[in-house]
Amino acid sequence: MQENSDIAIIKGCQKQQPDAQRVLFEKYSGMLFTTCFRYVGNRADAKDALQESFIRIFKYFKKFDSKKGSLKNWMIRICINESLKRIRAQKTFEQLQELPEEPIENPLVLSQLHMKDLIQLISQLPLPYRTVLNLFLVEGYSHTEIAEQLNIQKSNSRAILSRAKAMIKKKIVLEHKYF
Amino acid sequence: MDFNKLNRGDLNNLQNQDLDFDKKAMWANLENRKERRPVFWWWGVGLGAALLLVGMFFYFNSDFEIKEKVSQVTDYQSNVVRDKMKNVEKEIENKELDLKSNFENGIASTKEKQITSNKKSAKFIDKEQLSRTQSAAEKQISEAPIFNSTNQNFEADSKKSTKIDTKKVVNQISKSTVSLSENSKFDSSQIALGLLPLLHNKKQFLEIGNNEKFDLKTIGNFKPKNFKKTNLLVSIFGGIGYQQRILATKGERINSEYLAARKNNETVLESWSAGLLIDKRINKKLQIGTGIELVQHNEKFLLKKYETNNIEAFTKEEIPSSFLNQNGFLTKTTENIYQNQIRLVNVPLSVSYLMETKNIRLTPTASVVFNLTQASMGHIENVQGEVTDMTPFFKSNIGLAYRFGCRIYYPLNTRYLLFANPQFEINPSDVSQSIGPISQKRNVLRLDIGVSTQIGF
Repeated sequence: MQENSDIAIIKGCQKQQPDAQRVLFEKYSGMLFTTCFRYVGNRADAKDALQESFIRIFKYFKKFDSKKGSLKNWMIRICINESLKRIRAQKTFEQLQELPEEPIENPLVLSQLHMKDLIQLISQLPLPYRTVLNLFLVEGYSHTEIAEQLNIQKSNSRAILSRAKAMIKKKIVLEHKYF
Repeated sequence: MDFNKLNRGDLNNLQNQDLDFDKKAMWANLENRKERRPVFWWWGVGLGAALLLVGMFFYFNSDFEIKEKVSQVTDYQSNVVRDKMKNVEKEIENKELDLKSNFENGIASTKEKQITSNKKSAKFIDKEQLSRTQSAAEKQISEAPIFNSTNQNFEADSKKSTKIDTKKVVNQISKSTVSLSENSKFDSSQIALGLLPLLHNKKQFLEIGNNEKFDLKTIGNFKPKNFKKTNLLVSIFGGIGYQQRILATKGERINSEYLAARKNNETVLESWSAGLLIDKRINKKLQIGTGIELVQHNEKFLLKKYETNNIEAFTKEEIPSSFLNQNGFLTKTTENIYQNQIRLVNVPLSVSYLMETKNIRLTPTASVVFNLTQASMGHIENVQGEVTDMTPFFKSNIGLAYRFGCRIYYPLNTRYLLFANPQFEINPSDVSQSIGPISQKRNVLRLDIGVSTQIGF
């Protein structure tokens, strides 16, 4: 379901009205920038990806059907696709073995973790790890879908995810920030 | 949040987080990118609008021109007078004359350098004819004392009487050159338009001169006096063409020599065109199309008028002073250059066969062209030698034309293509009215070039 405020924006953007496009940009650019940042790992590439994403959003806005999904999810998908274009061009995903999960000793640590700090930690992971972690834990894609997106095997997706989790945990423990 | 138990989508709330960045700068970049993108599209629209404006300009502005050139030729029929004229010729060649002549049936006013020579006058009158007239004149002269050749003013020698009946001489000359119908509207000082081509054909001129049956009435009432798999392709174009004109007489209403002269003296037959086309692909190999176009056909030809006037018919102010008191007659030749335009608005309907290679698209095309309107702008001479508006003599709608050609498309990118369209157009209908002097059909070889945009990928 669309938010009421989004309905007016959608109508305006479908008519290519600059004012409506500006409002859309102001409302969602922060969130979409975060999405791009989570995948590409640095602000410069995230800005490029976001800029290209908005160009595609404005260009194909007439094709957006509000009955099929929310405006936010549609735009997030465009940003993810744009980010994955850059990722696919940069890296091939090596075949890895899945690691067994090691629990963090102090579970209180995670409850004190701010979302923005977590975003920063995720962005510091190597490219394949943060990509799979974002797609699985944040966007909610299945390993099958991730494997199709990244052109890797399903088992490799699982292995990469387990290693990504281990790495995040290690970073949290090593930094001792949340004790 | 228990990181150990994280599962699919558990960190979904990270989607709602906002990180700060320079939004103003990014929005400015976005606006720049948006403005830059449609440049090529607007260039195409601008070019199309410019082509249409040019077409409309030519359609709505009449731009016809008549240029008149008058040359004055003097011919002296008697041996004696001709001798004396040799001295005058040199004098005349260096003068510029203002010639004003008032005729009963028309007024012409020009400023022209005088050209006089016996050799030139011989173009208009054959030697045989000349000898006949000379013999007639000589007979007259032999009965009277001759001029003193040393007298530059051509005055008679005071010691001898000089009585030459100049009227008789001139009349004799007039009769021997041409016979005119008494019922014709032409004065004896004028020669009908139908005789003009005969200026180049001495034999025929003599025949007519000797042909008692020749009658201006045979001319009759001569009143004379044109591309991924897209569904829709929008094109704008401009073009040039060359007319193949097919002129023919309409029975006995006009002398065929006039037609020959008209054909021989046509110098300009180019066409211009501009328009908009829309083509729709109906299957893999075929597309149909329509549009609207403006076409202008230009024509340029000259007609000569040959006029003979008795010297006495001129007033003193009209005749150059050195010609006063001379025997003989004055011949004036007028050349009128006609530059006319014929403008059409057409709607073509086309069928094309699509053939695509790696780099170009070829589309052999056949079209039926519906003419919405034809407007003619310019002047033409009628039988009486009067210059008149030519509009009533051309049809306002010429019906159907047929075109065959092949468009060649070269894609610039996924949306825009350049194209060239050579084609041959056949107009089977006579474009002139029944009251026109001659029938006119036209075939046109044309080349259109333009830009197309593909819509509906």
